[in-house]
Amino acid sequence: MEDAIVKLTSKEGETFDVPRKVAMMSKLVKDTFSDDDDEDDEEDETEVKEVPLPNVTAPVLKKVIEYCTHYQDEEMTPIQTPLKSGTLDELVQAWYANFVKVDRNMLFDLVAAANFMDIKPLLDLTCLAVSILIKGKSAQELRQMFNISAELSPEEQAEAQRENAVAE
Amino acid sequence: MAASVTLSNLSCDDNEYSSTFTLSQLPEELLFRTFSFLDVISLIDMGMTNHYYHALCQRNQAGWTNLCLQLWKTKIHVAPAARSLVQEHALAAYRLACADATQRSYVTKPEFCYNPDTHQGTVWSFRFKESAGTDWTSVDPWYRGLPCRQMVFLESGKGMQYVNDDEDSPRLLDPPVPIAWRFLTRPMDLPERPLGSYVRFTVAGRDVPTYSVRRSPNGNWGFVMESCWGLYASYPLPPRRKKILRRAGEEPTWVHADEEDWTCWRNKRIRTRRHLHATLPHDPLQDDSQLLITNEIQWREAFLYNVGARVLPEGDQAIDEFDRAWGGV
Repeated sequence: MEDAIVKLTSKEGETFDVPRKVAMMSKLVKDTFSDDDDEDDEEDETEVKEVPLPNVTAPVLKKVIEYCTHYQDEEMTPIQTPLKSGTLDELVQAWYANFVKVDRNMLFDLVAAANFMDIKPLLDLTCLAVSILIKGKSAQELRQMFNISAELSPEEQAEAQRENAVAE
Repeated sequence: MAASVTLSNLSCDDNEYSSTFTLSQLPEELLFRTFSFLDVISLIDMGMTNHYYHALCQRNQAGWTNLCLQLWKTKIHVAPAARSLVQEHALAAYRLACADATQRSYVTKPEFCYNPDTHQGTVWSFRFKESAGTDWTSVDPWYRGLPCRQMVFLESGKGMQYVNDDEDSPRLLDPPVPIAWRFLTRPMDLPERPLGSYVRFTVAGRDVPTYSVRRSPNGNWGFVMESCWGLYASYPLPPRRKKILRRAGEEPTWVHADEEDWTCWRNKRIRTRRHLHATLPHDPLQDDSQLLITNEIQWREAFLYNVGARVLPEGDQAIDEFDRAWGGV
């Protein structure tokens, strides 16, 4: 059972062979197996299960598999709030900190993939990485960074500045 | 593709990766999860980007409940109204609590008092100021490096000693002499302020100079009340920092021992056993010169006490009456 392979199929139809234990980090995959086990009277251990992931592109799926594979050798430090530091390197191990040093677009897709596949530690890590992009930036810098348009009305700006003053 | 700031190292394997999602296309639940890692300022700045994020960043799920709880657990007194509001509207609760802490400098009766039945309420730490004189400071445990005396004040108007040598069951004891308390709004030497800004203690039947209430200067949202001779804090006062005489230079000067250790360590790069104390922030309540109510400010009340008055006048006419009685003092 430990050596069983799961085929994960990306949005483009590309298939990745993944050890079952690695794939089962995804609750989506795990639940798929549970459903299948309920249906089959006898489980055929040689049958390779295939899980389609239409929401996940191949490059992203490759990264997700990389994460889950490494996790088997080095479990990620749980991310807890309040954060003890503002830098990733001080919150998680070096491998994980480097894992999310990717293009911003890839990072957002990793967030979405981790959510879709229900991989909690990956979701925490990627959301944390996005939050670190946001930290310490002014509203204008954030608009430029994330291509956000449609500014606040003067009334909303004034209210937000009042909140800022109290919080500071 | 709009120009944008790239903040991360590109993986050497990435070749112009084309995203499926942008930030705004992430589901709200994921945005909330991301925002939950932000500090207050970053969350507010995110909310200032546009209407959509403004609305999102106002909601409890953006992390305000946690931010409230994290902040409040470090604070001595948090406005009850803010605590009541946090479940319904955590941002408003955060704002209310901060505004209350920065704008209200008087204490409410529930904040001031202690309930002996429920053991809920404020335990006040007390020490004399040096201006009280050695007759008083010599019997004050704080001057011997020991913990401050602790007092509680009951709603009935009575003051009691709080003894906590056994943490499971603190005891309330009658003080050596009876102490009564009440609020007043216009002591003789100080301006009129809302009720809860001044406390009058009557010790062994004699009024003592008024204690003026304000927020603690160390930012913990606690209260201090001080007169020309004494200081109370609504939280444990740290032990007295030892002073030593530094003889380097032309004139010897008194310095705090932990600062001296830090200086020596910094100069000699030798760790001393006590260097950890050198990293403690300076507490403004340690140094009488940093306190506000002096003998010069409260001179009338101090004078009347010293000449044996049992009752210290209060109200707008008190100064005129004093001048009529003691003109030329």
